[in-house]
Amino acid sequence: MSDPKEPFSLRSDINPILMTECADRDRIFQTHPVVTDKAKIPTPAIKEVTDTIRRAIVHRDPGVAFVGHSRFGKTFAIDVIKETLPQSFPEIPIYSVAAKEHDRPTERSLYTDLLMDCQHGVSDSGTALARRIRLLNLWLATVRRPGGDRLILFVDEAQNWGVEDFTRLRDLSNDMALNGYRLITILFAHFNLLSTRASLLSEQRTDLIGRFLLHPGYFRGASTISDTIEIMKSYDDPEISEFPKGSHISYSEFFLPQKYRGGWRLEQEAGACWAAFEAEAGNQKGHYQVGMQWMSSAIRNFLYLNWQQEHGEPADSGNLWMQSVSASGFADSLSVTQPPSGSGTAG
Amino acid sequence: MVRESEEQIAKPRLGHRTVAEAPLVEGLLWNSEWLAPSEGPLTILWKIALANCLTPRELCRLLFGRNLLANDSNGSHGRTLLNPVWMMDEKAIPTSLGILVRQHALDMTSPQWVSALASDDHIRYCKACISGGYQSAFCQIDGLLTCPVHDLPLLQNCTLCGAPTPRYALNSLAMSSPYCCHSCGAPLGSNIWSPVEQGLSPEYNAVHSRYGEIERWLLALADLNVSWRHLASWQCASDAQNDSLERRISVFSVLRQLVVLQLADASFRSPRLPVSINAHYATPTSSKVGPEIQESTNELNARRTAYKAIRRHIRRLLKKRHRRCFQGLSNVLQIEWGTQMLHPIAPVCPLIFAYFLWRHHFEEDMALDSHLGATRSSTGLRKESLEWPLDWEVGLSAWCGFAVESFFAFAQVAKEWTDRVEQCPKPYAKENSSFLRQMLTEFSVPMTPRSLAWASRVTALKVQTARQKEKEVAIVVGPSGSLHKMLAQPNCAVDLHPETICFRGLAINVRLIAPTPDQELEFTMSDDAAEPQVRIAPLERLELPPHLDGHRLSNHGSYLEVLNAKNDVEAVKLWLENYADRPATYGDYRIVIERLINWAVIERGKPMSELDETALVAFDTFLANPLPTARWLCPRGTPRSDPNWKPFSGPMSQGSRIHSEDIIRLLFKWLNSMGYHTTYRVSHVINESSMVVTSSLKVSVDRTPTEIIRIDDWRYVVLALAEGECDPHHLYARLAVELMYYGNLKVSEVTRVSTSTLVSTPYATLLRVASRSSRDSTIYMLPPIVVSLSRLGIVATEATENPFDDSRRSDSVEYSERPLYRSSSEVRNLTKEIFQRASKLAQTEGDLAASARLTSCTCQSLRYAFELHAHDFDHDKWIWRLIGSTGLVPSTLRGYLHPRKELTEQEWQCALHDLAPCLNTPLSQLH
Repeated sequence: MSDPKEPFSLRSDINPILMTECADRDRIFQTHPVVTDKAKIPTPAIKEVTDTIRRAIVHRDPGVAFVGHSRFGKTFAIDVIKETLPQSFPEIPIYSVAAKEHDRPTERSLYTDLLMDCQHGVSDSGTALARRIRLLNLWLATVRRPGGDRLILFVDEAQNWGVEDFTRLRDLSNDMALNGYRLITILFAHFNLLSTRASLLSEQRTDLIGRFLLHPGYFRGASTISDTIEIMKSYDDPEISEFPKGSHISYSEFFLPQKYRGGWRLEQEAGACWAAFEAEAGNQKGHYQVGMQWMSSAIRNFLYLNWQQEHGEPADSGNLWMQSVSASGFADSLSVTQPPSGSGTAG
Repeated sequence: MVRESEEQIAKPRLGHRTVAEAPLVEGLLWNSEWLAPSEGPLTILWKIALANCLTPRELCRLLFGRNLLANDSNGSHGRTLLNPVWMMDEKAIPTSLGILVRQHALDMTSPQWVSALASDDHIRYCKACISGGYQSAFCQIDGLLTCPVHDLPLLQNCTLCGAPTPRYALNSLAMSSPYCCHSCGAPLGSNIWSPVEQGLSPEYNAVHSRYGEIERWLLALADLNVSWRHLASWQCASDAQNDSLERRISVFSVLRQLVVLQLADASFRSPRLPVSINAHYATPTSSKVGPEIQESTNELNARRTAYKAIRRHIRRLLKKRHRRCFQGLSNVLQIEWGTQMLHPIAPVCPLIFAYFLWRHHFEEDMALDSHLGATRSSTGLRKESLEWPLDWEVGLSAWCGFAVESFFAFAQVAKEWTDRVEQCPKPYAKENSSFLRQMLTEFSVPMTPRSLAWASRVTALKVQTARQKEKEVAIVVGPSGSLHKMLAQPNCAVDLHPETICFRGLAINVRLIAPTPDQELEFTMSDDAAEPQVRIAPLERLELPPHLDGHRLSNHGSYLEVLNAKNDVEAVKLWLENYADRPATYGDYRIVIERLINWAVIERGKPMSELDETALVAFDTFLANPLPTARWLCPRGTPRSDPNWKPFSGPMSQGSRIHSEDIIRLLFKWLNSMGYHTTYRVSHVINESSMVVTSSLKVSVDRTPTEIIRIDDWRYVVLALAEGECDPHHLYARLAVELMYYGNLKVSEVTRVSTSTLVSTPYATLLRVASRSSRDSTIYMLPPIVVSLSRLGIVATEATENPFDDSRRSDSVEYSERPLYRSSSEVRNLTKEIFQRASKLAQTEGDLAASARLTSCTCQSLRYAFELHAHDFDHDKWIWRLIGSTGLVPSTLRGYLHPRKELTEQEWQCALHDLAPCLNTPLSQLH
């Protein structure tokens, strides 16, 4: 029998999934989060955002907002935070909606979007008032539970909403308040939201700014080697990145089981990885951050190349990280997804 | 600081992952906490509609995949909530919430009785329940009058605008404005349910679990295995419009007698036409082999014999009081040749009409025979009636019950006919009048055996208990009434008030045993009433179960109540303490109330305080003949401590019964004054039409000996007396009648009246009746007599001494000792003439019933009549002192009467003033 305290890599019994000859391994490979690009990794940026949100919930702030570049992982961040927040606030219900852009944004379209994202079965029928009441009833019925006095609403792509939409959200928030409940809205948006904020400021819509957009935070990408180490640690830690569920196998161990058993960790590759990103960005001007889209893509490429080698593919003589980062498309994204000098301050 | 500590608490707790989920069921908002016990589908749908802001069309479509129905049709609604099989049929696409709604429909509890007990004509609701967002499916039971939770009436109208509630169905009208009137929009309750409200508390659910009593009752009924094949054709109302409703109420009433429903009697609606049930063991179904055919023949012969016996019995009873009604029968009734319809062609006694209608349905080729002796007509019975109920077999006993119930049913039909006819002036004047044609059309079914072989107001059901599966019980249900009482009425009126049918030797009482703890029910059959569970005992040993001791009444303990009594027995004891210093009165009152309480709980199955006026009248009847004897009677002198003590030693006289009524009235009056709730309220109501002051416990004519003239009939006699005042013969007749009425004299005493027996005082005239004892030998001549005496020129002797001093009586016998009347027969003949005149007057005024009664009146009818009538006016306190009459005073109490003394002038004037309404003389003429 193995000692439970002993590191997994040193244990004598090897999970069959990790055996090269295992038939199930290839099948699991096809559904692996790393392969399907669904790996939810708590990056340092997510941890910073989570702390900000947690403070807002505790202090019952009406709302917080975060802006970030596209493909930096805001949507994944919402998913991760939605899953982690109930551990701190089990009595607070959470809804997550995605703001949609409409040619003609109307009251009905807003409530339909909200109802649909809140999983209500009757989202597209009835008058605007009926849809509004339906939505409010749903929220009130959800929040009405012992100890519950707050409802958290994550709004992704919040830059799609205009002044009217925010005004209607304010009214819903007020109705909730009339019933004794606080609606806490957490907006994730592209930098375009800042222009909406600016126009609200010019219109002196302090009611909306004070409620939703008082201090927009910055959702950043990996910008230092230590960020890369933190991310890669998560790939090594089965407590965070476990697949299949219950197997106690981390992402990196699944792809490189023999190396992992030999003491290798992905975290050790952080320096090479970051150097590859720097080399890739070196040809460009300005200060850049690495969004999670490219970071996870580079890691996936790296792990996949190693996987191929393990399965008999000839070892590539070149730098694996350079190949992986290059294949991630990071270089193409520069000057496209983020402006050359674009940076913000993390909230 | 608080926030900081909360922040610390808010640190992630690994291993405890709770994802807050929306209360959505297949995309629709629903919280299981909104559902209360026994809640019906209506409010569940309303809650879903309100929470999700759905239109009726969306609601129907989303929950069941069905469309609304545009048109309502007669009968059950296509989207009914009562028996909503449409929710789960092959066209439906039920959802989880749809299944939830379906599971709470009434038919899920009782598929057999749902249509027989409830309807979807209107939403029925309790105002308090609906304020909490609640309506039980059991509210749709028409026999339920009040909400068992709040004791409030179940409504089917908006209390604001009066608009009837929509149908109990998933339709546009009912679902468009949940919890509100569809007409005026006002809330049906005090507020409208909202999904924002908290879930229902355990206390709320506990209260509403009282509807569970009805659910348990329906489940117990299902265990009983009742088969009621002809239920749909059972007629329970004279008009077709209300027949369905009345049938549901009647069915509920019958089923409640089969299985006890543990709710207060005030919660139930009584059928307009009361029904009674008779239970009999059904004979086992026989196979068609030789010996059984023989048995079947014997059974039919036995039925023929039994029918003859019943017919003979009814005829004899009719002979006693309706001999004259048989005369000229062929001029009154007619059987049409083609349709075989038996109908009157002239005013007819309803009982005679009923008798022949009944016979017409049972006998083939019945002749309208006015012969009152043994009937010579054949007793060839109609096959359908003889083999009733055709599709299953019942024993002879049940068939006899059917025959008797049929008579009551036809009596109802006959009474309805005569009542309708009375509304039309000269209905039979023109043979083919439109009125008569309409009547014949309406009554065509019950008046001819061709349409329906037997009375549709009689039905039967078969019951098989879970315990005694081998024994089937046939229960015959029909109109309630008392055959003896009905036929004994001389006024040709049919009285069908609630009474158990007491047709001895034929009907077998059904004993209903309250559910035992394991809810087992059983029937026992007995010729005598079964021994009840509560033991008869004197007041000090009386132990009553909680549902019979009166403590459950809702308004006990109200702010009005000043009496510190938890139940009826305690209240009675407190009342009796008022008489603790008078042992005789105390004992007298105690035994009366003991009888009442014991009778109430044992014979009526309800607490004394829940007795109503009808029950108290029935109690009076019971006092006259307390049966069964084994239960109620014990030898006189049995000590109260004896376990075999009973409250009666024999039947009670009329006087004793009246005395008992006074005591009961006294008790109820006291209880009411102390704020103790009783169903019966002592009240005096003046009937303006007849100027008769009646109390709820008045000595009604139904209960007094028929010999005593009614106060209404006396009015005709007074009119007859007023005629021919110049004719001495008439004046003597008048005097005789008045002496017997106002003076309470016997015929023999009237014949001895002479001028010498009359004594005049300064303010009154007295009469000495030599044949009486000294105590009551002197009576005051009331003004009507004095007027008659003066008209005849008869002058009284002057009183020189105290007329009440009997030792001096010989001194006044001087003037003339010649009697005013020659013989008793002269007095009787004169009296008869007056009655005949009065009868004609009544006939002239169209009061045929009074005319018939007056025809049969004799001198004996006047005896105690004045005292009785004065009692009705509550002025009988002077009677003893004025005329010494004690007819209404129990013999046991007569010894306690105060000695009679001469009235002072002031007392005399006071007596005249009080008695003025009874003297038929204006007050101004009395002095």
